[in-house]
Amino acid sequence: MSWSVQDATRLEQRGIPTVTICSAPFLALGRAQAEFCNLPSIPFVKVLHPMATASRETIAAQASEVLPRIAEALVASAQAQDEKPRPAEEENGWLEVQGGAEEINELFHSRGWTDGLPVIPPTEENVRAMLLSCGNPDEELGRLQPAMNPVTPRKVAINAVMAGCVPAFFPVVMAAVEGLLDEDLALYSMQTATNATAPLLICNGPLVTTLCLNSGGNVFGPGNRANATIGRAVRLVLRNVGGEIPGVSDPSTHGQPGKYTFCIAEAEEESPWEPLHVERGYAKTQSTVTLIGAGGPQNIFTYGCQNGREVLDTFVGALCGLGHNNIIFPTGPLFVFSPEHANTLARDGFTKEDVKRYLFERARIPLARFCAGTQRGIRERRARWFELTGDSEHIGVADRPEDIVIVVAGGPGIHSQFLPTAFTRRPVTKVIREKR
Amino acid sequence: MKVLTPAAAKKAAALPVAKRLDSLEGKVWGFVDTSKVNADLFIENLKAEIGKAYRPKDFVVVRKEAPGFPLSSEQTRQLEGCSCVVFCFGD
Repeated sequence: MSWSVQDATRLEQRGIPTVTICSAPFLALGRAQAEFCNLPSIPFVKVLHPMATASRETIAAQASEVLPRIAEALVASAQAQDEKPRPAEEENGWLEVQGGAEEINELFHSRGWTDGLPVIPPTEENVRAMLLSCGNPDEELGRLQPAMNPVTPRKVAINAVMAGCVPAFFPVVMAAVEGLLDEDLALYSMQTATNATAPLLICNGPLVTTLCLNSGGNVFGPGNRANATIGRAVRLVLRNVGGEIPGVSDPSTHGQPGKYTFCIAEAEEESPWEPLHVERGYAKTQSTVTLIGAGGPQNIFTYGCQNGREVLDTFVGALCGLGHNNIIFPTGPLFVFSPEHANTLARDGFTKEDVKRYLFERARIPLARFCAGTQRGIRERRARWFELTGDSEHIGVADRPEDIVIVVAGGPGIHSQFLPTAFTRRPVTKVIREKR
Repeated sequence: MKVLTPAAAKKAAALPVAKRLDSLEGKVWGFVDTSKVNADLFIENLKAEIGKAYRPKDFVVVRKEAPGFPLSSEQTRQLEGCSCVVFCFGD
């Protein structure tokens, strides 16, 4: 839907009239996107929802019914020609509020600037403290999708204060924002989809210890200030600067808890393998944040498994369920192995590359298990997998073994996490710079 | 208390849409099949209705690889030769 509006905008600007058909629940999303594209008058025509499961007769009836409205949208009308363009809006960047934290929270909630939880008031003083590690606070870092608004260190700092970050966390937030702007993350598609995917931050390097980021027990859970507030700051930036508003520009069917905060660190000292950032070409002494579009973690409990092969076969079983994102999206699944699982595998001679190859070769689902429509979609959207493997009877969970991402984190226990991924073309890694 | 605002600083001026057509008679109709389920079927039905109502000169249909991706430059080039374009659909 969102890309249709972007594409339609481009055609309209080249002088070609367009009309975008959408079902009723997605009209608000379409209009929000049109606003973001600065083309609010772009026409939409509404059809019934859902079209995906409608009968052939209903689809035929809808086509017949909407044609007059399509015609109206494409042919000149007095109203469209007389329309006055909306002037540019300016704001001065600050507000004077009568009262204290409570009044500010009420105001920010009413303006739609929070995630629903209370925020720390972003005063000039605490924003200045957050910006101490930055050079020019008003430098435009890029345009944040989906609204394509300019993002500056100052705006990031305001949101970081609101999220509860201390200044020492700010370089991580800035590196993560740099990652959001990287085209490989495919943020626009991720943010404007019905899918529940959200950018997950994975921190590596010496700063993990310095900032007391959690890489151990409850790594996806609550209780750690750095993980909680860094992830939340990124989410508030996505909302307030990127314009990703649930129910308006974010049509996610369910959302997920990771849309409040989604930040973990790798337990490098507990891992028998090289850490993620080293695998991706950075020095062990560098601190980095890696972003990937991920769904909610799914627990894999290897009860009774006593060796690496049994553990991996359980993982293969988890990957071979129908309906997860890595069947349709070629991104490659993400695994967060517990240190116990990683060390069992290493004990039994598995390198990280061996594990990836094992999963790649065995996690293949017979196409015959899917309905005809899904088979068609898989053949179109995963065409590269069929080309690369020559296996026309199955679908794998990644196009290549190296597309599977493995991180070691978590506390003691025989549990690991499978996070289906989507949209991201490849994980995006950015160096955390303590001074900018 | 003075607080800084977290939202984006400026909203650019709105742009006008393309000039609309004087008539739909004898035009080249472009369609974007977003690859949402049943979009292809909807387009087939729409083409039949347009054929009856407006004596179209031609139809051009492009199908996206996936709904979450933009049109390719080749698809955009094909659509630039059309009198109008219908996106089918967001669902």
